[in-house]
Amino acid sequence: MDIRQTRRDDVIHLTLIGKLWHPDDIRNLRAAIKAAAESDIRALVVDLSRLSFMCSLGLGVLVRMFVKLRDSGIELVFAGPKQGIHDMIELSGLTSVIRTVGSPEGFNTRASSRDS
Amino acid sequence: MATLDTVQTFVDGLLTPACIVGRDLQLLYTNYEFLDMAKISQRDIRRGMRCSQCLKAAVFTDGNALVTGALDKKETVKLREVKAENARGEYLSLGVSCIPLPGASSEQDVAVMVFSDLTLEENVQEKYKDLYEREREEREKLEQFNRRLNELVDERSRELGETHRKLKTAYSELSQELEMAKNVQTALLPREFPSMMNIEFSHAYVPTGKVGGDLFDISVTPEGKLAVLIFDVSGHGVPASLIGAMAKMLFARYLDRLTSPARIFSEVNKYICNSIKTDHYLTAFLGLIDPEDNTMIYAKAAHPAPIVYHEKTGTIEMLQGKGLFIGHSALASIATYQDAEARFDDGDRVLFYTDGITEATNPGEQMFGTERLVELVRKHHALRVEDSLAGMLRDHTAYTKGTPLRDDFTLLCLQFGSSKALLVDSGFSHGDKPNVLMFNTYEEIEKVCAVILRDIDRNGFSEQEIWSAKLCIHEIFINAVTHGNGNDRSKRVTVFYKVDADTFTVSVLDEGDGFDHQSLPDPKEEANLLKDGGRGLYFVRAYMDAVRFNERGNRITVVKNHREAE
Repeated sequence: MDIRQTRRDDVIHLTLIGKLWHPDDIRNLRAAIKAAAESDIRALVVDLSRLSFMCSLGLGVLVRMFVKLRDSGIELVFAGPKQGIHDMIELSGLTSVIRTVGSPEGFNTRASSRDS
Repeated sequence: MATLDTVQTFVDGLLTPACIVGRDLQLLYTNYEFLDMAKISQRDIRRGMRCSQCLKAAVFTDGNALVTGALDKKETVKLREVKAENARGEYLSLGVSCIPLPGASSEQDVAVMVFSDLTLEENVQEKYKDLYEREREEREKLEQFNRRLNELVDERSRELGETHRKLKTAYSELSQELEMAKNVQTALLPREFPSMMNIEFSHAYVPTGKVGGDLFDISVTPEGKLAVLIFDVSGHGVPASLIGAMAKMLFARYLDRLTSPARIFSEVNKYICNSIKTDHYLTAFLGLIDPEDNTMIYAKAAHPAPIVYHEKTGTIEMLQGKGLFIGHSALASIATYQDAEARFDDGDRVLFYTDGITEATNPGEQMFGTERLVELVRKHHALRVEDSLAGMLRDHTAYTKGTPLRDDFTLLCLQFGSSKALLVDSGFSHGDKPNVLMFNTYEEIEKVCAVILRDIDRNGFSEQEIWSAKLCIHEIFINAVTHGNGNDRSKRVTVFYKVDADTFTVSVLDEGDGFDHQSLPDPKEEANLLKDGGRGLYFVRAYMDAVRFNERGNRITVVKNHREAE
């Protein structure tokens, strides 16, 4: 799995490309989120739109990082998950806890309108 | 100012001819060398002889330009190569320096003429002219020869370069062809073994670096028999490889039509002998195994007898048989083959091999031999088939101690009935004939998963069903490798699965102690919602239609019905 990072103002976007199930990828993702959280940001958007597959371990690491970031005052947001992954998130009851938006741009729009 | 006496002393002291002359060229004084050169005497001088009288040359007569010029200009005049004749009419070649001495004599202007006699040098040159000429000619010839030699060297270098280039190209082409032959040969080896519920396989091929003639194949015949073929073409290189490839195609063709290995050998032999004129021939073993009762009908064509280890009795059996080489034109008319039968019990093991392993030698030139191979089969029988082969190869390498192999070799090991017992609690019966897959590591998960998903896809399951199947199979496999086997690579995960248009069933067994599946917390409860684990089995239960565990808790069986089929 590839991870690409972009920053827009005080929001970092991490785009996950490929499959998230192998322990190596899970470790890399954890490290990438940790590193991103060390910079001065308001939110971390995990762009799932290019993620084709994820197992429960992958979802688990995202949940763990959500909790860690929340404790640091940073919001972790899911963006653009494909149907299968969206179903997993929903099935786990996480949609009520972790904000999930249709696309990364959707988060910015909402955040701006909320901030204003 | 020099006086005439002083000049006379000077002239006497010279080793070359010299004289003192007046403006009219009268010889006033000469040294001995001059007298000798001009062939005159002191008396001639006393008589008032002029220089022009004893040295006849144009320069001394034409208005006496030499002396008068020097005296008038008060400068030394030098002349080279003055041709003259002395008083005896002898030829002289002279160099002359005329030095004016104004005031040396009170009576008249005088000058000193100093001569250098070049005649001798000219004579030497003349004398050795031929020699010089010959030397020059020889030198020219030598230079010409050298030039020609250089041209020839250049020409040969060019030719050599061209030949080298052609050889390099030819070698490169040959290497590519050999590489291609190797690739073709490799492509002819089975990529994956057919899933047989009660038979395990493993194989090893040890190359010599050359393209060899070993090939084997394992396939399922139209009658459901497991066909095990191993053969070895004589010789090496592309021809042996081509014969091997062709033989494999022929065997495959007849395996689809005939049920007797002996008949198949006869047909392949006939075809090769009649259709292809070749010096290559092959040894072969073909067995057709009935997985229902673990019997094998086989034929052997001059091939090393496979070694059977009977698990229950601990005995060794060599699968003997009668049959000559296949494709040997000299034996074509007398080559016959016979079917024989072998029976196996659960746990029995068969080693098929080519003779490269037994003909390998140690540094003392002692062959490895069949007896040592039998001992290795006995020694490693308790290990899994792949570990057993690895052990045999290690021991073989220890024996040969790096001695180059004379021939490549192939080992193919089968074990019967090893997975029959694994069916217990799987939800499958022996008659269901489920597919069997085995793996040990995390890295193999995706590959094994892909095999099952391919079958699910082929049976018309929807994209969503395939996605949920992928998730659940991954979850189960990850649990088996990490939680069940504790990431112990020596422990295996055994998968039985069956797919049809209506349903698919996957049963996964690990070698761990099992777990209590009923004690797993609900990940949707508020206290568990933000825990990072505990969702894998939850997803499996949510997506599959049935989930069962064995009592020990190290086997999970899942069933999914095709929605459109319901």
